[in-house]
Amino acid sequence: MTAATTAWGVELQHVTQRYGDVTALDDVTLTIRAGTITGLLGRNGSGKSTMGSLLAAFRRPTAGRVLVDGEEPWENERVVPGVCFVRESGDVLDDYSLKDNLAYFSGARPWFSHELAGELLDLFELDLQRKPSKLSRGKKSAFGIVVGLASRAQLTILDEVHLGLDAPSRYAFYDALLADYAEHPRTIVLSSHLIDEIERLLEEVVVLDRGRVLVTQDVEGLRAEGVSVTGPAAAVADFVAGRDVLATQRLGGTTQTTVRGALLEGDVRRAREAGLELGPVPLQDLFVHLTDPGRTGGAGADVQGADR
Amino acid sequence: MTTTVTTRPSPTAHTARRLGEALLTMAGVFWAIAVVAVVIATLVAWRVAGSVDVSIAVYARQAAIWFPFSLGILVVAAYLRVHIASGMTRRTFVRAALLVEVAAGVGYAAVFTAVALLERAIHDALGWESVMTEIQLADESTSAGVMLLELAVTFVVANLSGLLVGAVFHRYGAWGGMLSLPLTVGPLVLLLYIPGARFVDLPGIWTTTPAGHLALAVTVGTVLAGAMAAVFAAIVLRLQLPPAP
Repeated sequence: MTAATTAWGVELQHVTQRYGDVTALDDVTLTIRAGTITGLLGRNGSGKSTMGSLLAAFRRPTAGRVLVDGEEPWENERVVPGVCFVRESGDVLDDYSLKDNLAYFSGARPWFSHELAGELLDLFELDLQRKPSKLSRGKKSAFGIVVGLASRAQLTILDEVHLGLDAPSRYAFYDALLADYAEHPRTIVLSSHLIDEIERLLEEVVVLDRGRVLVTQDVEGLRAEGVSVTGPAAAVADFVAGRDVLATQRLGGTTQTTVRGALLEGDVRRAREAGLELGPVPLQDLFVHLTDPGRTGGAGADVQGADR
Repeated sequence: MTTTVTTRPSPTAHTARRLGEALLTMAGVFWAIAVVAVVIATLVAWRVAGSVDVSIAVYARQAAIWFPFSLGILVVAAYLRVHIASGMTRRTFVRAALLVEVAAGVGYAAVFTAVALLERAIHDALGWESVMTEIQLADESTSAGVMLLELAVTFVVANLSGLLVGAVFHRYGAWGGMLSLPLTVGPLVLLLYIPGARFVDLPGIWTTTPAGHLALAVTVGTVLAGAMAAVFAAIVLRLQLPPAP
């Protein structure tokens, strides 16, 4: 028996990944802190799965360096057992029973918890005798979650693992993830389009857009930077002048504008005097505005530099 | 933050056990069918001709080459991605796959030899001949050792050829896999016809002797097996897997 850290940090240094003519990741530099639950957000095709593939040594980057716990994961006997990448339903032995699959995975993962696997199998009502190829979409995803969480890998990447799961099962997954994370802290990267649902789990967030890093920030900080300003159109326009405007909606004479950037001293008072209402912006709305194609054309690099 | 870590079995041994169990199951199915087929064919031939003076078992040789060959392709297609996704390296997959496929080749050769010898004993007891009509070195008078050696080399090359085809399809896609078949399967076909050299006499260069034929077949087979294993390893060790399953 040996001792090992339970959470591994991630560093990408000027990473580019190309598939022929398509650039999936473009000169990406970022850090994911060890021991955090980080949301990896982005629209379809933004490079999230490619990043997971690089971290799990499915691929080598075209350029740049990928470091997990300080070392490149590619063919690294020390690192790869501690990286678990589950995409959608995960990679499983389709023609073997779930029981055989678990036997295979548990033999390959040094920290695999049979106890947790058993609890999750019960939670998702999975029959060990069934084969993955015979399961419904949701049950397949549930099994991917069982493998991803029970592996207790130091770096666990869960990429759209909720696909096909009904709402109660998704919330059961979130609760199970949080409970096990609290008992066995590790680095978890969670990618999902259901930002409203996973928002409460996240400590940090990375937003990718067309292969570039748009935002990398702690969630509270990002949320605090988003402000909605509601009131008479002229007053709103005057208040947001010079600010980073993400979106504007108009209803009659009333305008609601979403801006990004911390309010300065006196802003709240000035807004009140102008008859404006200031409110928080949900993370999902911020994400939608930040990744709006009309807004982000080529802006990614600038924002990345400003964030970290 | 630290925690205790349980030791895991060697990744090579872990995957070799999984692959070995899968191939063993399929081998059981194959040999059950093959033995039943040999018995039925022998009974039919006996009923029709009154005696069976050829080895029926030897006709299973082609099936015993190409069935495990196809399993070699499946080993790469079904297990490689799962192996890597389970936190193991390509290197350990290569070791496990080569180990299991070489063992499978020798195992098939051992079973085949045993079946052929058993059949020969039965034929002898019934006063029948056991003429072998396949293009191979072993004939009805060959010792078990020679037959085992020749078959083992052939079956191992067939299995490694299957692995190579699987790896090439994985790496270069359907078109690349199809177009490279002459290179990936060609060596096996070449080996199958090496025994034909016994029909050729080149005065001063090559004289037909049983020991010479065997040495030629084993040498060529061993060189081909080594080359195929090396190319298979080189392809898999560089293999980039697509992000989506």
